[in-house]
Amino acid sequence: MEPAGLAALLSALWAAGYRVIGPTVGDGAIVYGEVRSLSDLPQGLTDQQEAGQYRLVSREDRALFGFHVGPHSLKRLLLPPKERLFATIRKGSALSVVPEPIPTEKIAFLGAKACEIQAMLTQDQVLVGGAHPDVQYLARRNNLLIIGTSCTSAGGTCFCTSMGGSPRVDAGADLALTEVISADAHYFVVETKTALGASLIEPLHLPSASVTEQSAAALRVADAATQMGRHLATDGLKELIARSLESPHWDSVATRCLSCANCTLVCPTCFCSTVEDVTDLAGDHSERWRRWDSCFHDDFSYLHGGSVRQSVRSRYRQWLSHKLSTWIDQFGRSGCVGCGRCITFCPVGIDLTAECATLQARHS
Amino acid sequence: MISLGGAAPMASDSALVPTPYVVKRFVCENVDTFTLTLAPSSGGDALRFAPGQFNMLYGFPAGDVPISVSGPTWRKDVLIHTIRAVGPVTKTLAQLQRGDSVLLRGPFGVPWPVEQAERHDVLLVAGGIGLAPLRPVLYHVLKHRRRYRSLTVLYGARTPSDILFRQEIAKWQARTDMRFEVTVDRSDADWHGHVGVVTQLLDRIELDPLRTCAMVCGPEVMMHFARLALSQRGVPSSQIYLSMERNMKCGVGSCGHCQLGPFFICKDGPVFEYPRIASVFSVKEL
Amino acid sequence: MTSVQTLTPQMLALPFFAGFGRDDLQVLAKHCRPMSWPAEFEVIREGQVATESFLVLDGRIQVQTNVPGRGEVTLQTLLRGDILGWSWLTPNASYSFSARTIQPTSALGFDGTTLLRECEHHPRMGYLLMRRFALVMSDRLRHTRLQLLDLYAPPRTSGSFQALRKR
Repeated sequence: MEPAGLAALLSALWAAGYRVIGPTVGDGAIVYGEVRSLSDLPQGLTDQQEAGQYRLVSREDRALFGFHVGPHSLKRLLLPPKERLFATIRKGSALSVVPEPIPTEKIAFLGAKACEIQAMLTQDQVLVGGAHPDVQYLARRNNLLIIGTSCTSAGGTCFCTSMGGSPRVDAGADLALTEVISADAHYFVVETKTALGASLIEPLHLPSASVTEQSAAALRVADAATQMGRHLATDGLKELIARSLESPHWDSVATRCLSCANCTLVCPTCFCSTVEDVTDLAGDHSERWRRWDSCFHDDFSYLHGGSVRQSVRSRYRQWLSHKLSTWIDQFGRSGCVGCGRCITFCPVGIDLTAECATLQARHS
Repeated sequence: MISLGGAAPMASDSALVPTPYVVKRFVCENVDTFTLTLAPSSGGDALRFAPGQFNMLYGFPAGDVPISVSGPTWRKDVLIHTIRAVGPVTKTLAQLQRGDSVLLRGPFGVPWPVEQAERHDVLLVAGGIGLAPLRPVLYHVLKHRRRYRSLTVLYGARTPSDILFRQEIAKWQARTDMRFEVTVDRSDADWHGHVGVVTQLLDRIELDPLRTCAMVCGPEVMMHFARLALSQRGVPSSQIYLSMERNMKCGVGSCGHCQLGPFFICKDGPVFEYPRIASVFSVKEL
Repeated sequence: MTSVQTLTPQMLALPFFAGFGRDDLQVLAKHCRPMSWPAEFEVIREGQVATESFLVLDGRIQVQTNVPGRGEVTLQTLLRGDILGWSWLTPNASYSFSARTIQPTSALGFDGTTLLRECEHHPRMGYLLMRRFALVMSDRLRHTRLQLLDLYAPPRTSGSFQALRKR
């Protein structure tokens, strides 16, 4: 598929009633926004990432998906930072509850990286995998079409391969694209992953990718897997963390951690939320809003009289041990997909792969 | 993978959306604790629950808090909750009058093991407001008395005036098929009952450790010492159950606030068989 | 003076006697006597010269002190198996608190002064006895510390809700 084919797919999506969201450039970063034409995409840009550092820089080519991950993730769409759950109306002494309508908007996400999709599947388990599925999330999830793009390079803080992932988009996407760009060619190898994906592609009458094109795409993705900027040794890590809850290493992290919650906000799997009740001045109408919360906030573990986790040490321990250890107890998989956002967007550059390596060196 | 799709979800199916209930009765238990009897505003039956489960009670417009059901399971028309007014929401609830409305969602959580306790000596150890979540167990055991061996309740209160359910306790103490001991941490001149912490009573009562099923509810430190005392008396850990408390907000394990190690207290608890939580129970600030 | 027969199997089943050999019990038995009191009986009084310990066999005793303005305040109640009084273990001691029965109560009274002398002659029994009292004291201290924690106290931020109801 040529870039023109992608433009046609984009038009078809809007025509079919989808609002198309994807990578755009904003505030010096790649953030998610509406994509109406290919010019909305971060053409010719990539991101350089290191602990505590993120820079957009020009690529030598005009690749549309030549970036890694930015501060946004799919959770913004599925579990919005702020959403109303219900309204309450008081008439005399009676209260009535008006639930928030189920979202019906159809959204197509263009350009989801493999780790993004893994993170979404991880959140699916938390929010709709139990006895009480979150109806808002479920509706949004069912209305979401995903066009993934496999990575053809890895970022400085990437480590998806350590977490059992791969740069290659697979399950969870409706369509998977691999962008191939060279001096004389620019095309996408398209794989259909679901019937819905196929139904969107068929009307475009795309030519089949040649064997050469397919292997060029596969080679670039395989290359990306060898370029990971970080590595996490996960063997025995779950157990090591579980038995190192009293390690002095947490005190060392606490001397650096600002408890700012950036890592939890950029993390694509962090799902914690809180609720706020907002009342009008007359006190007869109130709304309950859910908004993202973080285990780094001091009132997160509030229990009549005070917080259980008063020290930064205990909050960082909670975050890291949940992500890499107790998440496995809870859901049978790690809560980390190796996207590296928490490393990049930590203002003091705390690197969970390095913290784990220190724990391992200390306690193995 | 999670099965998505299927019938479109309904807004009213959400476990996060409450149902209006009306206050049928308000009883002051002591200076800071009260009991609410609630019936669905729409008429009809109240939610069914199992002993030890909790509801999220919403005091308009302050917000909601987790409160264990303290009434009997067989009352179909109402839900009874005993609440201590300690925070903004519970203080809002404390101002309710008969006929006022509250919002309620639930029931949530793992109940007390009333079935596993059959054919055992049942020992309930309660501290402070911890008596309220155990009261449905007591009702259940008394209703099905022949399924159980002995029944003992040890209850520790702060002072004589803090004792909950006073008239009911007098009736229980008068029964010959159970034992109900009350102790207070601080006495006053009119008090002639036990003085001392509830674990001291635990050290003194006769028990058949291997046949005892103990259910303990109270502040964490109290449960810790009660568990120690029970273990010292030879009660197997797997027959000791504790009710844990953390910051439960959503009730369904999706908001993350009530985590304790690998557990979401709201859905994996609040009641735990002790061995399940032994490794995380005494870790500071976990 | 009594013989070891004073100590019935029922008494010997109490944790207090665990670990003592027959010879030790023989010595202990020589210095104890069964006692019984009616309800409301003052067993010991704060400030009196302390010479005795009592092992409660049945009934209930309250340990009290007089607080001006509050009257007799009960600090702790003692039940079967509990020990009342150990001040005689320290030199020139007097009882720190008073104790009064709540209901008819029976106990074994030990003469501490003579027991101490026996301990000097029978160091093994003395050692066991001191360990036994150390257990009693650590038990009492643990419970007292828990009482001090005031675990059921309302959080500092809270007050009486009944004030709120008078709106």
